[in-house]
Amino acid sequence: MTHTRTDEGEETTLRIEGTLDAVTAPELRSVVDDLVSEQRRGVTLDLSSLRLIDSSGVGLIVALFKRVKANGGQVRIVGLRDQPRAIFRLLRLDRVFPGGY
Amino acid sequence: VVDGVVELRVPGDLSWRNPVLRFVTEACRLISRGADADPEAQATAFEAEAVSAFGEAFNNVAIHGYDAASPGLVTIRIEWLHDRLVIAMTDDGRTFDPGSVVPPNLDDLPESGMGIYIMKSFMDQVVYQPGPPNRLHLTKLRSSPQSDARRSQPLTSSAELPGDERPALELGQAGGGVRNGGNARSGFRRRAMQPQKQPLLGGGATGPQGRAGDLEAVKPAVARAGRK
Repeated sequence: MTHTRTDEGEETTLRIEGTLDAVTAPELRSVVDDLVSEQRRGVTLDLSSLRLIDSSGVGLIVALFKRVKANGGQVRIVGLRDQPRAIFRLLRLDRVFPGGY
Repeated sequence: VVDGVVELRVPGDLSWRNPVLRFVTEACRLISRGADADPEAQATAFEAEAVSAFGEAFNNVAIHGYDAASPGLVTIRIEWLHDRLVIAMTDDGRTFDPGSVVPPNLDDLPESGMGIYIMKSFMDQVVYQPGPPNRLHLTKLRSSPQSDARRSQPLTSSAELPGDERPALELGQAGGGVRNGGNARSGFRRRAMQPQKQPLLGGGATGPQGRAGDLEAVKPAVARAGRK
């Protein structure tokens, strides 16, 4: 898993590539903590290059959503496809991230 | 579509998750599409769902079944019959209590406790037999429609594993709570089974970081299998 963070004003785009799972999710937790502590108002997750996700990865994204929302911000998802899309649909996260499909 | 069987044995450790999932993905692809399958082809929904379910099962053994400091082995057998895929996992870790698992409330946006739900939703049958050794069978029918109706209903088919007289449980089946103490979210008990010392198939597998050679190092046995 690799990630790239890009800030433009109050907006942040976090691009995640590869696999976000029980192995790699802990590596991304500090990034989530930073986004929350900096009170970023808008966070866009670019998942167009995310190949695989498991329940641990989903848990991290949901945690990011809850914490940013608690700060009055918003998390959007773009580029969801293949296996990650199947997981998001199963877990009914399309209600939370309507722009990801 | 050919019938086939692939089996490998790896340490039940998260560092083996990536190579094992690649193995399962490629096995599904090879067996379902044939030896000339395009390795760059996009994953089908069938593959995505089977790999997702298996990944959660492997996570459970690595995280809850074994101690990270001294993981035991996991044997993974992938069998493709004319109408179904069967992934069997065997481990000697902590025993799992399917009846203790509470389904996640998706309306609450849970951050954990979704693994069993993913397994049950994406497979047509999930059967667990407490051990030692613990045995988990994940079955997915080729022609099974993925419907919300199936996902919301309990699994209903046979709860006996082939070739063994001990009782097995289907995940989602009503049952008692956690016995011997344990984790109400994961369903794993605290009491650890002593891992058996067994050699890796082929031996010499030392680097679990996902290099191509790692899968060859465990030398999975591939054989033709007759239809049953």
